[in-house]
Amino acid sequence: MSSHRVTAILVLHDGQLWLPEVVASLTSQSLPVDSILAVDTGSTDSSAKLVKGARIPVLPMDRDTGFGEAVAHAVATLPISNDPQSEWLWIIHDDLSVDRLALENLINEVSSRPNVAMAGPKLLGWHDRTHLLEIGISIAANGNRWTGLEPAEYDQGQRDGVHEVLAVSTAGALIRRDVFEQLGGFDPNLDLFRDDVDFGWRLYSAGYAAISVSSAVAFHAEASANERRSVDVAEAFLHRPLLLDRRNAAYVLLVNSSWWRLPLLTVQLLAGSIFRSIAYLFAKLPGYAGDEILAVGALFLHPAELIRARKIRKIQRLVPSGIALKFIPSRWSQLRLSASRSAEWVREQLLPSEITEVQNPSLLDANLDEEDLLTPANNRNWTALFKRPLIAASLFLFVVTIFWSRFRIGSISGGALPEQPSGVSALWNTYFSGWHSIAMGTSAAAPTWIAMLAIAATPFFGSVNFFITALFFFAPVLLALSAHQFLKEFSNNRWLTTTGAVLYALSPVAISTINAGRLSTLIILLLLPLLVKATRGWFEIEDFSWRRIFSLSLLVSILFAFSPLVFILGIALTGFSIYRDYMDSNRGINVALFNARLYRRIALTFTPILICAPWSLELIINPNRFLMDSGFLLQGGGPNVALLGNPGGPGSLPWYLISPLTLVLAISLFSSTRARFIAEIGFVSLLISIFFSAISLKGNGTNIATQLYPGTLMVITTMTAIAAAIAVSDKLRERLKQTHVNIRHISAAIMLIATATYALSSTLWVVTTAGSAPLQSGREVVLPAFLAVEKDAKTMVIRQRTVGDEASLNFYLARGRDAALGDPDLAPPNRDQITNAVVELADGSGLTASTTFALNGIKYLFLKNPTDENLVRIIDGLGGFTRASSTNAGIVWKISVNTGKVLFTSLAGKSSVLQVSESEFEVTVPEPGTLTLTENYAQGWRAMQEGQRLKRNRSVDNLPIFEVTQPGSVTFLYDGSLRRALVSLQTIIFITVIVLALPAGRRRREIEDSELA
Amino acid sequence: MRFGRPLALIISLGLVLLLSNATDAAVSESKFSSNYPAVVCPSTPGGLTTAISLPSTKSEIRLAGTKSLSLIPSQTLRYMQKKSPIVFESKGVTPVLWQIRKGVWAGASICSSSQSEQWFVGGAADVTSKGRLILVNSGLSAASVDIELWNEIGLQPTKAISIKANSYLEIGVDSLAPGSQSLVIKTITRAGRVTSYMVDERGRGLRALGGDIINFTPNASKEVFIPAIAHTVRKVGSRTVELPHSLRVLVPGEIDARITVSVFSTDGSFIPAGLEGKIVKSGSVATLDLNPNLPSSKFGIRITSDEPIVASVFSPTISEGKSDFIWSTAANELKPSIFSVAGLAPQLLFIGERVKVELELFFNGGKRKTISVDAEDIAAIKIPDGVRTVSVVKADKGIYGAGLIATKSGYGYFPLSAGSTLTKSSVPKANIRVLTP
Repeated sequence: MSSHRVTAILVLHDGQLWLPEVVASLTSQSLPVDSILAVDTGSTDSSAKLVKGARIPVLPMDRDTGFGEAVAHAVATLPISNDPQSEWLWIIHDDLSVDRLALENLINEVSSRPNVAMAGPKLLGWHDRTHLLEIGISIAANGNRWTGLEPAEYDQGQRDGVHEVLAVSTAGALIRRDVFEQLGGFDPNLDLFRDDVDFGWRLYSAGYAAISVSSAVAFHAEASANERRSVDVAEAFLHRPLLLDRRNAAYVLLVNSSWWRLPLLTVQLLAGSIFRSIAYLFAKLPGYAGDEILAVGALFLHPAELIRARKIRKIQRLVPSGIALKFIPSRWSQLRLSASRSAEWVREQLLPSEITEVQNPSLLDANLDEEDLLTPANNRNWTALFKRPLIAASLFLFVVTIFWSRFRIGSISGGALPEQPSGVSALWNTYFSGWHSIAMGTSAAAPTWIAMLAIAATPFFGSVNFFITALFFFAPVLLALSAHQFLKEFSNNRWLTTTGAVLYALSPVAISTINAGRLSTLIILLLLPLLVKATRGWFEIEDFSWRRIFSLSLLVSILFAFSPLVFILGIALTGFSIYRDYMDSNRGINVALFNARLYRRIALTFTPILICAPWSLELIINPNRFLMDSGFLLQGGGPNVALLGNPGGPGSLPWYLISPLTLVLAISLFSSTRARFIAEIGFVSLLISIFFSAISLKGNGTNIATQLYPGTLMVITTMTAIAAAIAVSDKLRERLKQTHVNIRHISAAIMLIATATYALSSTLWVVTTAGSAPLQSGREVVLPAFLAVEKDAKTMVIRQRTVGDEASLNFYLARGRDAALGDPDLAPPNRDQITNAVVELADGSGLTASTTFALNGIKYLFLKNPTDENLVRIIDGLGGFTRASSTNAGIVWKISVNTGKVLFTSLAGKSSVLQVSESEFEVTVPEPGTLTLTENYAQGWRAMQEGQRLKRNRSVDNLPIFEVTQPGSVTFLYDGSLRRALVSLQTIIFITVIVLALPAGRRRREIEDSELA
Repeated sequence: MRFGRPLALIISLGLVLLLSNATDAAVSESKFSSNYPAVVCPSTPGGLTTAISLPSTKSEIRLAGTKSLSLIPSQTLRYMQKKSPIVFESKGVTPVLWQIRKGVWAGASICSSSQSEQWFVGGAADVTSKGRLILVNSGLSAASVDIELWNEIGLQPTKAISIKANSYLEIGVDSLAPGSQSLVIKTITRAGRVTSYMVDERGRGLRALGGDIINFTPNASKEVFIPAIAHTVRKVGSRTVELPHSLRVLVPGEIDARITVSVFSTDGSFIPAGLEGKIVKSGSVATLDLNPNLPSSKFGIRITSDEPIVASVFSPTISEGKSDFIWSTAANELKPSIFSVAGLAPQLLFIGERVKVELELFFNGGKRKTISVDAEDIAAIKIPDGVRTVSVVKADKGIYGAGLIATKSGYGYFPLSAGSTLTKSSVPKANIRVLTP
């Protein structure tokens, strides 16, 4: 017979739904409860009546009474105890059902532990009684309720035992009455939520302990937290449980922690609230976002409340409050849990659990041995993994890649890919900057793909080099995986679809793209299959949810940012589709259908333009750029090579390694299956590619007309050709077996032989010619190191470049470094004055070339090796150039005329170069005159003297000049406000689209009971 | 229609290909500029007289070493140079320079544009030497030149010389390698627009031993052609004695060369005794006797070697009873070119397996005359007086030419190698790709 006396205190608040079971469980305990007392906090339902019906006395209280206050009221009505250490309070919620042995097991455990003043049962879900809710609780430093459990953790006894914990939930908590009274019960400032943790913390500070007892089991509906009933306590501002929970969490941390932890805690709480509210906004739960901010705000607005609470705790404290820190999870634990959850989520998305083959052996099977039933049905070992087509193909491609990309380990550049900055911060600088010091400078808008690349590189330790290298290195495998997502729509034969995916990864356009460092085309190759898959059902677009439309817009935006041609193709497709919609809607009679489609199509087509503005708006002004990819303008192979499905250009397969793409398209055009439709698209794309390849344009930092590279179009051709081949080949074997030898047999044989030959020859080619690919790692820099010492110094670089068999003399203005990622896209057109000076330099007539260079602030002339002896002699002989060095890299001349970034001309016409201070862009003007900035003229240039803006003019040489009326220091700056405003607007649009694209979060009240627990 | 689809396929492909290839025109749009670099004629050392034959009285010249950079018309066809070198806007014409110490010796040379390397095979730096190396920097920036020098012992220490912008230097050859009897000098222009010349003048005490301008060879090669060697005789009593020639050869590489000398003369081609497969040590200047024993007054030679060599022939001459000498140097293969020979009336010699050359003579009065030469081994043409320029209009491959001038002051030799060749350079274009490896 137990010497302990237990009083169960049942707190009621609109709990009629659960109460019958709750009361029944209380009254059927194996160790009977000595007395039961109920407190009704103004229930509007029949809760009180139900309890009274069970002959349990009910103490009525106001509806806004807090939980702690209700319990305290009940305790106050209890008779004075003779043996307070043996008298226990068992706190029962009206949505908590306790197991028959719960009390007995709790009493058994506390009996042998005299220092334990609080014990709680293992809490399981009300609906799913295998769902482990809590087995002891704590609080994380950011205020989160910490159970240490996995989400929806299945109870298999894995957490069983008696554990010392910071606190147990008040639901089912067994608390020693004397300790309860000694500590003043639950904090009256915590009407609901977190009162348990607070009590536990105070319990430890007072020298006691709390345990969780897994042998005692209770089932909790968590009705208030799950918004199954309204929260009406006095403190529950706006009746919002989350607000109250977050406020109370912050309160518990701030009143119980040591004073020296408070500053860090405050920062953590504020930052945590902000981050969570942002996350709620993304989940389209603005109410919850507001709760987060309001909760912390409300608390900090009443510091007196915190001070009072801390004073009380100080009085009650026997041991330092730090004693509870061992129960507070470390940040590492939280990170580990977050990482584990994220990894699990990613794994689920990428590799959804497959339903394993269920062997259902028939009892009539003569070979069935009874022992077979004892062996697991699924006996696959790890080697079986390699027999899965996609894994085998990925491994094959990985091995090929090791040989193919063996010269691309480390920082890579070459072909169309410039050198990359080491960190993403440099990319962001470029993106946000209003002025770019490229050649004579430009205020052009940085392309949106720079920002996208910066975001993508951030998880790679913020290293752009690492990201780009990894992207190109793993490109073949990634391409195969991406293509497989698309191709598996066309056949259930995984060996067939995987073969198609491998062919895609080794297609001429893929090889050319990887070898020549064509970042844009690589992104198209990777994402276009996914986009096509995601837009399945395009013609019935009215079935697409708006969320899906905006998700697709984001994907299209990425493609558009890297290859603006996507927009042109999108416009063409949209135009065609709108015409089709018009016909489908009985020539516009079915307005609802027509409009539903029209709005979605317009949103999908034009949202990317908005997301990529202001860069996209510059494209509209200069439409040629719609046809150019990012990076250096690298020529394609021309129309004849394009006919063979090969985009050509540096790094591409030689023409004689003919891919089967055109052949496949031609054969598929005569197919009677859906392959024909696919092939028609591919064929049109091929025709456009051929024509596209014949166009030559100037741009991206070059005034050499360059044959366009039909990468994007060729990706479409390749995708469609492979898809058509799969559609044709699917179940072809069975069909062929049923007929005599005919044209189909011959076509199939030709297709097979051509494909096999191509696969073999292209693989051998990429492996054996890896060393000659334009994209390589460890390339030397162009500009000698000593020219890079002087920051931003302008150097005219002249060198001979050979394209095909033709050598030509090229030049460009360097600003103390080689061309970096984004530079070609931003490079301004060269000024005629400078171009003429270089041309005259080359033909020997440029007696004034050095003066022109000096006028534009060009300090050095660098002739890169191999040098043209004749040109060297000309430059040596022209005058105005003094040899500075002659090394293996080339010859450097210093412009004899003194020049710099800021030139000063006095009123008397005397010119001089002003020294620019190292820290700021500042010069000291000796007398009134004119300042010439050797940068291209732009509206944003400002010169400030004593807070006044100097008058700006444009010189005949298109340089900004400023009139100075008095001597003194002048500061130059480029006012990038417009750029910043536009980028801010872009950011808002981008975030809005992301929010619209993300799945909406659900309020807890919207979640099914079965999902919760 | 059974063939409708294949036909549509083929037609559409064909049409697009046709259209694309027609559009595909803008790809090769590289532009080139071509010009003839200005040529430079050397300065006139003290006591000498120089006359430069120009193609026109309107030929534009400027003096190097003066402040004025403007070009002025020459106003004469024979420009009598005072001291400073002249820079001549050649426009493809190579002027021939005639330099004499009046009544003592004479020499000829072509005026040339700046060169990165020049070989001068000839001269001495012994006690008789009064020779000079002339370095002209016609550019407007300072120049630096390395002078490499070989003598009968071997390679001598390289000397680095810097020359101020638009100026020239005359360096005594005896100061470069004192005591050397056989010299080969190579000038290498490290920076600047420099043209070098060499004058070999000798005398013992007050007795003049003659002199000549040593024409340069641009590079060492395995086949050297010296098209014109003056073969003079001296009367000793009643009989005439052929003056001996000597062949100066340098193998600048590290491996000894095996050379064979073939003589081209009107008496036929042959290899003189002892000059077949002759081994010449590398690194030092070798002098070989060349006595072909010919009745004819001129001949040319071809030297074939298994290693690159440079060579020239030293020929003593007697003119008006005075001793002189002439350095016959290697010539480049004959290419269409124009030589200005006003007032010189040279004799041109061409050698080759089959000499087939078409020349056009342009007379002072504006008259033109075309001469076609078709011969075997060697051909000689005397250019009449009053000819202003000689144009090599057409020349077969493997033909080499040189000119010989005989005057009272002495003999002169100049190779028919264009001093200024058309330079084709692509017009530079802006391309940011220059800033990437």
